[in-house]
Amino acid sequence: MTVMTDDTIPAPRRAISDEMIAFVIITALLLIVPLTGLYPFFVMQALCFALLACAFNLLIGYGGLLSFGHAMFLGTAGYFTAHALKVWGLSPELGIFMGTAGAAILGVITGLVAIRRQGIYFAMITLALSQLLYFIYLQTPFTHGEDGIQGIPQGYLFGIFNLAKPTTLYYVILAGFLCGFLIIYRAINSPFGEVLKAIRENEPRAISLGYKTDQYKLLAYILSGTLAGFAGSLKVFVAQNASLTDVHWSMSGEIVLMTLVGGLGTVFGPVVGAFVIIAMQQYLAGFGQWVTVIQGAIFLICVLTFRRGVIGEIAHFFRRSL
Amino acid sequence: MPGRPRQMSATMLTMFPDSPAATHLFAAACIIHHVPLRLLTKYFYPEASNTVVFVLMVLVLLVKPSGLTGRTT
Repeated sequence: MTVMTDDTIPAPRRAISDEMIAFVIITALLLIVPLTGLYPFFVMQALCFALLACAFNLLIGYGGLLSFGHAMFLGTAGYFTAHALKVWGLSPELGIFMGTAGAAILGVITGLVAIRRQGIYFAMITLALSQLLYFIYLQTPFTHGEDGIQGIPQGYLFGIFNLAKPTTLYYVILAGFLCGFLIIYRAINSPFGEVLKAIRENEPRAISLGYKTDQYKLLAYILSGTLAGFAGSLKVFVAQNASLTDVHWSMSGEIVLMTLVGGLGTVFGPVVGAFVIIAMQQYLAGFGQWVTVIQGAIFLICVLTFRRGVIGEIAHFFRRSL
Repeated sequence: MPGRPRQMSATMLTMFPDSPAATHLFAAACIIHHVPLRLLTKYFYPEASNTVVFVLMVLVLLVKPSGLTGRTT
């Protein structure tokens, strides 16, 4: 008799089928959002953070690498994109490319340093590098210090799509989110993703099998950082500013919170987690600073009662992969 | 500057994370951190006075992750 555990259920083929159904439903729901009268700014912001949380989840959920400095990718890409659009007058697609490429280069540089250590030391190194960048951006003239870069022009994407129109901008952000999400989904269901999972479970065993684990971890870190940067570049078009908030360590904490609330190591968990946290910030704004306290309480409840996160618990209950 | 206490505690944690005598060595951490490193940086290159602590933190974590006086188990 086969013992059914979390690791054996569900079977891979059924898992992919479940995930594809969930993906189609979520995509269909997101496509009709502009028709529902829901505040588009909220959904666009949530989509950017959802992509960011998914990128973070690729690293921690599948690679077992806890980064406490993912805000540096978000902020760096935001500043690069904002500067390219406002000062250099580049088109939106080139601005996004500049931001994403900047985050990728940052991923290579910081990744080469950070992957030399594991566990808490890896987390501390990423936190230190993130804070290092925070103080650099605080003093560098092009970031305008605490004021940030404001009033960023949205322009025409590929010379066709007017991003100043909320509906057009929404669908562009949605397309960006879906592209990023599918890249992550493809990565975790590829041989590369399988090796990442093997490294997470037992790194010495993976090394003994002949895998160069450092290279795999570095690649996962760069991919995660690049996609986090892509999310940061998209966010610039939504918020029309780039500020120090996006580089601060508390932003890295929020990313961890989103992923944990949604479900660590699940495909859709970070998306749900991002929507929950952004909705709380949006709709509980009247409580002022108490929102942070409420977030902390939710984090505690989540860790103490449903450790798998919202999606993780649902998937476990229905014995499905989500 | 609001970031300073956090930076100092971060450096202390880096230098003595696993040490049972951590509290007794906090004064030493202040000497190591503030007197030679931070003040010198502030004197020679003030712009880097905020960032130097994080460079030190990364270096310590890379070279001796358990901290300068921490024990490796």
